Amino acid sequence: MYISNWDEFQKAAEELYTASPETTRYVSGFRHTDGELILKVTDDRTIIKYKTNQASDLRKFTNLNLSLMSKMQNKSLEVPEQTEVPTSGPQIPKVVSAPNSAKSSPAPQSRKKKNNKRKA
Amino acid sequence: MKELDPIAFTVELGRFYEQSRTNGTVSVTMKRMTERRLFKASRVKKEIPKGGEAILDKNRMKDDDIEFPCLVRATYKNNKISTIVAPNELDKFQNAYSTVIRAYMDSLKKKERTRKKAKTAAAAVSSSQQQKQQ
Repeated sequence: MYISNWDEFQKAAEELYTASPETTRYVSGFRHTDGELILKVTDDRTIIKYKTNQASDLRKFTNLNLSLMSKMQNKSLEVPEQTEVPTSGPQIPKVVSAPNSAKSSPAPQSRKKKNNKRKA
Repeated sequence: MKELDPIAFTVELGRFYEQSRTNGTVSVTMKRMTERRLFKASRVKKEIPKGGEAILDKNRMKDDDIEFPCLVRATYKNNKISTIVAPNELDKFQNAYSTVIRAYMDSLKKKERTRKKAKTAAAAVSSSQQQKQQ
């Protein structure tokens, strides 16, 4: 029932979910006093569990959350890291701030030059 | 069982983790909102949960790329909260949830050796502090 290897647990969890998406649930429990994270994936017929007290598993836990929630919603899991997608929130300010900084850093004379170019 | 919207849920969950520092377990459960569960929820709440309309429409159910809402519940001692995350709210919820996780799940053991990948700033600071001590 308890799997000791994270990769095996992740693989088994995703397989179990793909096999029965309607009845599978993913439970996580955290005890701060013991410093333990316990994960359970079950479809009421089979159970797989994972227990850890390592901080290195937190990132894997977050990734697994993302992966399982996307499966639950039946959503494609594509997270674009580059600024090609215009809809993502945190990336838009980067695009906006670049031209602003370009305008503000040079002397105001360049602004007039740019304006003249625009008018022309 | 308190029903909250996804962001308020993550805030309340953060409070649970904070309170659990002395004692107790915080438990988070996730499952897909199937047609049957949505129907029951709509009967109880007298309205269809967000993101659920597409599922309850029987014509759409035959599509393969239909997206389901997700039910998330959290408990701490006697307090129970829940939320329903619609498909278009997934990213916001994921960001807020992972922020809460990184902020509060800090009692996990960190390796003493210097590690190239530090998940959180606290982990990086603590490992560099351990380096300085050594």
